[in-house]
Amino acid sequence: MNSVERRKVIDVHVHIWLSRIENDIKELVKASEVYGIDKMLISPLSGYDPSVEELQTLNDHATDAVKRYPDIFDAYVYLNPRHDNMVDVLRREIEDKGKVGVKLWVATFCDDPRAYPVYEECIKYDVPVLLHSFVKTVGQLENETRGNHVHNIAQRYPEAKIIMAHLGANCYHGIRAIRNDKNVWVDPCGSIYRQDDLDYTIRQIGTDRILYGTDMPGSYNTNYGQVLEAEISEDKKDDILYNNAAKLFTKMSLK
Amino acid sequence: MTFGYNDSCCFTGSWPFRKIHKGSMTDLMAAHKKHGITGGLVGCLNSVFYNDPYEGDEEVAKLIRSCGYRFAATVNPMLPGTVEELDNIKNVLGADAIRLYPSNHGYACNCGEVKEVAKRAGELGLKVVITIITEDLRLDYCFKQTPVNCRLIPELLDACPDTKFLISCIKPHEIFVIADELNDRDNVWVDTARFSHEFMALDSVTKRLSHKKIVFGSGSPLLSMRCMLLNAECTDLDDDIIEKIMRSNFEDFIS
Repeated sequence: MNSVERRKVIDVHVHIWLSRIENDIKELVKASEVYGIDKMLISPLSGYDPSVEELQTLNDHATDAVKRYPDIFDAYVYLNPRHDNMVDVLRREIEDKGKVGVKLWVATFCDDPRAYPVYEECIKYDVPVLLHSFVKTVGQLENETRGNHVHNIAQRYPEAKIIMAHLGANCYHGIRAIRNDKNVWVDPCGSIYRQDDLDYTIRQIGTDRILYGTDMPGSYNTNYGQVLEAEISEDKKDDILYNNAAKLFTKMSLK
Repeated sequence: MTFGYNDSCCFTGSWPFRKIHKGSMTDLMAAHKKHGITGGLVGCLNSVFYNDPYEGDEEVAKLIRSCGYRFAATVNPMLPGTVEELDNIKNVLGADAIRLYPSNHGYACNCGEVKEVAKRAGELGLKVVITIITEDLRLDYCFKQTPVNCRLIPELLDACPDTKFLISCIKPHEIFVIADELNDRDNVWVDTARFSHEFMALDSVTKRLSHKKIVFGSGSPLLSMRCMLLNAECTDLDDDIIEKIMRSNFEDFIS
């Protein structure tokens, strides 16, 4: 039984993990068939504070995945603001390897001064920065960005195109932090969310700044179901699922 | 009585930590109707945090039953007089089941009080629903849940062999830890309300746990009904297995 409702979809937030690259690619490709996803944007990840070599390996794997499945994937360049060669990596990956955005995870807070060059370069290249943002009651990581950090960087760089992932985890914290920052988009990815989270987000910031993301490998249904169930027009659902990302990612390839 | 699809995990009422926008029985019935669900087992959210849950249940039991739904009374086994109260829960409130919230009320599933309540419930023909989690622990707000150790549940099942149990809001990886014990016992089922963390979760769970032990539960309105239904739509399982999960397995549990 496979009768999922098909719509045009860009999933701006999927992962390949260093420890299981091939398995993840295989699952993502299968997901694209099962769910009919038009494009997935890969964010390669490993440890919390990856080394220069680790980062390069990850970015190479992402490049390779896009080469193998150009109709399914595009990719972010994954950066660590602690690295001296960060800007060189960013330029090379965007100019030579076709990366369509930048991903920052938990090596530093997103508003750490060492990350400032990322935003300055991304403004020049007109590519978005995807920021992991997750407030937790238990298990908060030392340098894990939260909504207030995203707000800080959005204020400092109003021309930057910033994506706050996971709705900041607890939307009642994350969305409140960035609701007036017009240069911040959000994605609801992850598997822990509740129906009211997306509805709350829509009430706070409308639909124009909401992108569709899932955090796959893992669940797709949680986020897709929330969009299908949202009390908005079908056009607005299409904006979230596809159109907003198609406008935001100017370097993404679409059929 | 003719059964349509059944939702074994659904609620009505308010939740102290966030606004539930579709929490009335009218809302629940409308959502169910939209998706071909004609009945289910409904709990009262208000009661979970009442000092005396019976007072909250009294407010809604009659309404729930008058809508053609089955009622799951909220029970905290640690409160004095609970065992004696089960007669009224059965005969005055007309409950079909009791729903326990060990993560919210802070006890282990194998403690003496739980065994005593579950045993008496079985004698009265009341089913026992064990709610593993109500909110993701990372998103708790103001009140922190106590994580439930699912490994202790088989001991409870053995202590009450004549009682039927439903383990609700359990995640696939938690099922896998006790899958053999669950498969070996005739008095236990699990619901799908937290099958949201894996790609094609129903397919992976049924590889370890008999499909006859799985009943559909949405977790609505705390969770998204549409998300959980997508799990049944996005699967390679045969239609007759999905039919059992959506319909007849619940009858086996509740009858």
